[in-house]
Order: sequence, then structure tokens, then C-alpha cells
Amino acid sequence: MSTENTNLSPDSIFNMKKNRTGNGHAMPPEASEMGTGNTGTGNGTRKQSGCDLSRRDFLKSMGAGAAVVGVAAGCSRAHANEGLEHLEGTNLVMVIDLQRCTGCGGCDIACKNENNLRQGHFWSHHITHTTGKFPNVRFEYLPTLCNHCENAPCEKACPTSALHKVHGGVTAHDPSKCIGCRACIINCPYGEIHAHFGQPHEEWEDEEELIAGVTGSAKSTLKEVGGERIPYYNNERENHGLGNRHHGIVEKCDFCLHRLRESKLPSCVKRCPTDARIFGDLNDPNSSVSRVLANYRPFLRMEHLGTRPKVYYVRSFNSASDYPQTKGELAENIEISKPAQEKQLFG
Amino acid sequence: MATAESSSLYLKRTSKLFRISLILGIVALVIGAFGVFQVLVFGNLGNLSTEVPWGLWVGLYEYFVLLEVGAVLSFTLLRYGGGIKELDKLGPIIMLTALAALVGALVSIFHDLGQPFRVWMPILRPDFGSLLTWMIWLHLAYMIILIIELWAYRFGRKDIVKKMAYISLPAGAALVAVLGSFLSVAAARPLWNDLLLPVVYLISAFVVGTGVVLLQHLIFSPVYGTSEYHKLAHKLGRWFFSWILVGIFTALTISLVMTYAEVPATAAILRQMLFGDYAWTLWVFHVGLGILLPVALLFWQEKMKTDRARKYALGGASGLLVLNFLMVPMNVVIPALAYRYDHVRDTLVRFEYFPQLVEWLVMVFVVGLMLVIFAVGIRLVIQPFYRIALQAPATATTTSGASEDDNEPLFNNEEQ
Ligand code: SF4
Ligand code: SF4
Repeated sequence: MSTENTNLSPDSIFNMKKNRTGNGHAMPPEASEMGTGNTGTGNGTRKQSGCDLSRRDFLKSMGAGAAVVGVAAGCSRAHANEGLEHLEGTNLVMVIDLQRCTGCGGCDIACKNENNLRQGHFWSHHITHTTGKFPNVRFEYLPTLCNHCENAPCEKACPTSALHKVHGGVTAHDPSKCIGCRACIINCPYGEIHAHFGQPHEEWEDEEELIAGVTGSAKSTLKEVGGERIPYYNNERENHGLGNRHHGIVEKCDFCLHRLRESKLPSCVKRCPTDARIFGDLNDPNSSVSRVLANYRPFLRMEHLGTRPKVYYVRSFNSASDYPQTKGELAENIEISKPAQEKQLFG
Repeated sequence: MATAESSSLYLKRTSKLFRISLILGIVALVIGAFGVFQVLVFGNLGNLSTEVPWGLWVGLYEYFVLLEVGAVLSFTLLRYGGGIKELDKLGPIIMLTALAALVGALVSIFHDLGQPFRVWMPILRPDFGSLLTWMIWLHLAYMIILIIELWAYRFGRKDIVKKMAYISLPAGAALVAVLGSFLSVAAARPLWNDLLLPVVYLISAFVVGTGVVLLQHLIFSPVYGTSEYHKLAHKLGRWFFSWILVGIFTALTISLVMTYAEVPATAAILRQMLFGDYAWTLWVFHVGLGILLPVALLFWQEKMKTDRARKYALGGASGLLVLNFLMVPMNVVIPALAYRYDHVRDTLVRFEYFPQLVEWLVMVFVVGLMLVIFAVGIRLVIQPFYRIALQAPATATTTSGASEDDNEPLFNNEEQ
């Protein structure tokens, strides 16, 4: 087990419980009035330990005379929170400062290594978008991951509670309960859930050489470095959930619950070279996330769907370099001198 | 009065249908078993992926649910709402068709699960916040209703038949509503979200269900070839036509509203559905063979001179619609997944999906299983029911407190 200390001060996740306001709303009132995204009261504020069922859990447990079974299912949530007791009452969120982000993709790589992800699966990913015509081009880079929505449609759709909320409002996945119906994939508006079909890391079983006679094959590389299923395997991932996912189930980002258990920041946050990813408890008004969100109006992905994402984006990916002073023009090729423009504007 | 000759003719005919269903069913089971083996042993899920997580099997599932619920709802509406008492003779066949479709639906969806052997989980450890759980539980309830109803037919318990018919109405409506809502609540899929699927599916169930009732009457009616047979076929043909018109109206209005609004995410997917690469499946199978041709046949049969020609036209119309109705859920499920609107780039992203051989093979297996269930049902329920109804029409068992109507025989042979 790693002993690295990755805690940030003052929003140390060690201190989260101590610092929390209980049911507080970390955003200053001005920010909320401005319609500043959704800062949420946080699922983290909801009681989730033991057999204390939330209203939704209770309603879920009703129906078709299956209350007993349902309550039993609710009680199993206590098990889901095992090791996460220190996060009770927190509302864990991530703020991504796009101005600081350089688009290096380090978070994607960190996530893949940390969680032993197979080829083609990215729990942390990005969307790029280029608009305009050279030389007036805008390039955007949007790092993406599961938003751990407060009103998570994936969790609602899951018939077995395999997807469930744990302390901190993290949307977690229990592989042992997953039947692989993929209703969650259908319902996640962000495409953040992946179906795991086939055996883990099948790609490393490939014996075909990339360039025949010149390079090795995936399998020979694996053999050379002495790897089991993959050349590098992070066994710390087994501290919460599975180290490797297996056939037929789904998988998604869980804010590195295995690290949160040990009061460590998620791997993508830890590895981001520019500190563009900031993580912490929004219920704590002094946490870094609260402070950043007090300064910048965030945007949330597809906010109109009412999912109440817990990944906030602030500022813009494009550099802050200024553009020349101008009042614009009426149409292409029409140059309006300043006095003429003024004349036009003021008669 | 039914003659010994007519009854033995009917038994002979159903025996022939039993043999045909059984043989075809077993052949399909053997062919399809290869696909089932691939899925259950090797976890081969065909062309399904993270991008297009549902495909042929979910489409099939929805189709069979529409058949199973539609047949029962339409039958109940026609029999008890429309007061068509002659339909009593058809009751067990309709329930058997529905039961076979229900099994088909469950087996299709079972193969779709990534972990099929955990299927007990939503039953024993359910999460009732999920509509999927409700769907599973409603299916189980519906299966019990159908089995009790078939049992009641088998033993001539008209009182139970009637009670079950009334219970099946809300249960069926709930099942279809949940089936539609399950997709419609997915805000992530704007097409489903805008389609008002619970209503569309309920109307679809009546369209296809009335088609099933007509088709089964034409094939299985115990009064085959009599004037009553032709009269009832004609009446059912008119009901069928009316429901098709309601269906066309619903589909057209909803499509026009969605097109008019030009909401990018929905309009772009809708355009693909109507004019994209796979639009031919919609135009050829659903619209052409599934609606226009049946409507033409239904018009045409009104002008036909002979009962025999009319019978074929009605049979053709109902058969075509019922078969091609598979394209309704297919065109609801697949395009909504194969095309995703990317809100960051403001563009439509396309994912490839066409069912692989293993998916088709499972479909063949499911159809085979349904045929075998149908065949067994003919032997275990239909023929005994008919014998009982013929032998002791006036002694049908009733419970105390049953109404006068309940004391009537399950079907009245005098009408023959
Ligand atoms: S982003 Fe998708 S997977 Fe993550 S909580 Fe929201 S709906 Fe669920
Ligand atoms: S695939 Fe698994 S996690 Fe997703 S909805 Fe189904 S059971 Fe739940």
C-alpha cells in the first residue's frame, strides 16, 4: 500500500468531516443569485450509513409487496460505505479550470494506469473542438469524466442498485450486483459508462507483431516485462471494487474510491501537472473548490437535463491574450474609420 | 349445433397446425441453439457495444411485448367493450399467443444481459426506483394472469376467465406504459424523450393486437368457413382498419411536431431515420409492407365478391402488418442509439450497428421456442377446451354469486 501523502490543505480530505457545514451550501449567496451553475446541497449531506434510508431509498423499497426485500437492499448500502465513513456528510466535487488545462491528456493516462483500464476504455477522457478558419481558429479541449450527478439518471435506471451513491455523493458501481443490462449506459447523457465485453485486457493476448520481423507482439512484450494480464497492474485498485473488470458488466469512474478510502485525492487530480483539476468538499465553505467557485461562474455539462453534475468547469481553455481594440464592422471589406463609426452610432 | 363432423374436422385441423408448429419450432430451435450457445458460453454479444448497447434483441423484446399485451388488450376490448360474444371461441388461442410472445420477450432480453445468470437479482434484490425492475415484475404478474386464464379456459371456468380478463386490462396497460416510459424518461436520448412512447406504444399495441386477433380468427376459428366466420372476419377487419388509422394519425402528428420544432438533437436523428442509410427498413418494411399494403388490401377486400378472396385479403393484411410491426420498435430503439448528438461540437455522431449472425440466430431460437410453446398449448389447452365446450356446453362450472352471463357456456355452439 502506498504511503504517499497527497492531501491538500486546507481542503484536506482527511479533514473533510471536521470541516463540513452539515447541510451547508458552500457558494456565496451572490454567486447563486447569478445563476452560477448548480452548486447543489449535495448528496453527501444525505444520511447513508447503516439502515437509515433516504426518502428515495425508502420509496424504492416500497412496491409490489416487496418492502422487506427492498429494505434489505437499502441496508446493504451500509456495506457500500465501508471504509468511507470519514466522508459522511461531505459533498465531493471536482472543479476543472480550463484556463490552467494545457490539454496534455495526463489525466487520461493517470486514470488508465490507476484503474487498470482496458484498451478503448477511458474513465477520464476529453472532447476537442476546433472552429473557425485559419488563422482565426479556436481550439477547445474539454476534459471529461463521470459527473457524479446528484440526480444521476444512471443510478435511477439500475434495476439492482449496482449503481448507487456512497458518502460524498460519489456514484459508485458494485460489479457483483451488475447484471449487464446496460440501462445505465442508455440513461447517462454523457456517455461516461462503458460496457465491458470480453475478458480483461484481451488486447495483450495478441500475438501479431506490429511490423513483422521488426517489432514484438503485445503478448511478447507482456512476457518480456513479466506482466500477468497487462504489463503494469495497479493492485491498489482492488481496495475498492475489482482490480480488473470482467465480461458482461459495465464500468465507470468512481472518483478513485480506493484512494478516497485512504484519504488520497483521485489519481487524475494528483497527476495533473498544472493543478487544473481541483477536488474537495463543497459543503466546506473554506475548501479550495468552494473558493474557486466563489470566484468564477462555472458551467456544467448539459445542465438543462437536470442531472446536477458535480464536475464544474471554470474559465475558458483559450488563452487570455487580448484581441485588438475594436468596435467591429458592418460587413466584410467595409472599413469604418473611428469618426465615421461614431457618426453612424450617434447620428 | 356443432356436428360431430365439424368438431372432428376442427380437431384434425388443429392437430395439423400442432404438427406444423412443432416441426418448424424444433428446426428453428436446433438452428438457433448455436447462437444461444455462443451467447451463454462465450458471452458473444454480437455487434453490441458501449456506443450502441441495445439492438436486435431489445427490439425483439419490445415487439413481443407489444404482441403479448396488444393481443390480450384488443381481445378484451373487442369482447367486453365491443360486446362481440362470438370471440369467446378464440379466447384460449389469444391467451396462448400472448403467453408464447411473453416467453419470447423474456428469452430475448435474457440473452441481451451481459450477465444473464444474474437475472434473479432484480427479482430477489429489486430496486423499485428503476423502471426496469417494474417491467420485470409486471411481466411476472402478467405471466401468472395468462397462465391462470389458460387454465380457466382449459377447465371451462368462465367466471375466472372473465375476472382475469378484467385484471389483464390494467396489468397490460401498465406493462406497455412502463415499456414506453422506460425509454421515454431517458433524457439522454432526445428522440425517445420526445416520442411520447407510453402513448405511442399503447396505440401500437392495439393496432398490432387487433391484427393478431383477426389473424388468429382466420386461422384458428372453430367455426372456420361458416357464414359466422366470414361475418366476424369482416367485423374484425373494420376494427383493425380503424386502429391502423389511429396509429397513422399518431405517428404522423408526432413526427410533424418533432420536425417542425427543429430541435437539433431530435430533428437530426429523425432525419436519419427518415432519409438516412437505413431508412429503407422504415419505408420498405414498416411503411410499405407493414402499413400501405395492408391498408390497400383492407380497402380492396370490401369490394371483393367471394368470401374466400376476402379471407385471403384480410389474412394478408393482418399477417403483413403483424410481421412488419417488428420494424416499429427497431426504428425506435436503434436510430436513437446509433446517432448521438454531440452538444460540445454541435454535430451528429454516428455509430455503426447491424446485427451479427449470432444475434439473428438467437432470434431464430426465440421464434422456435415460441412455436413449440404454441404447439404444446394446442395439445394441452386448445383441443381439450374445444372438447369440453362441445361436450357440455351447459355444464360449464360456475361459482356461487356468478352473474347470469357467467353461467353461459364458454362458447355457444348453437350459433354454429
Ligand atoms: S455522468 Fe453519467 S455515469 Fe456519471 S453519475 Fe452522471 S449519469 Fe451517472
Ligand atoms: S448494467 Fe449493471 S450497473 Fe448498469 S443498470 Fe444494468 S445492472 Fe445497473
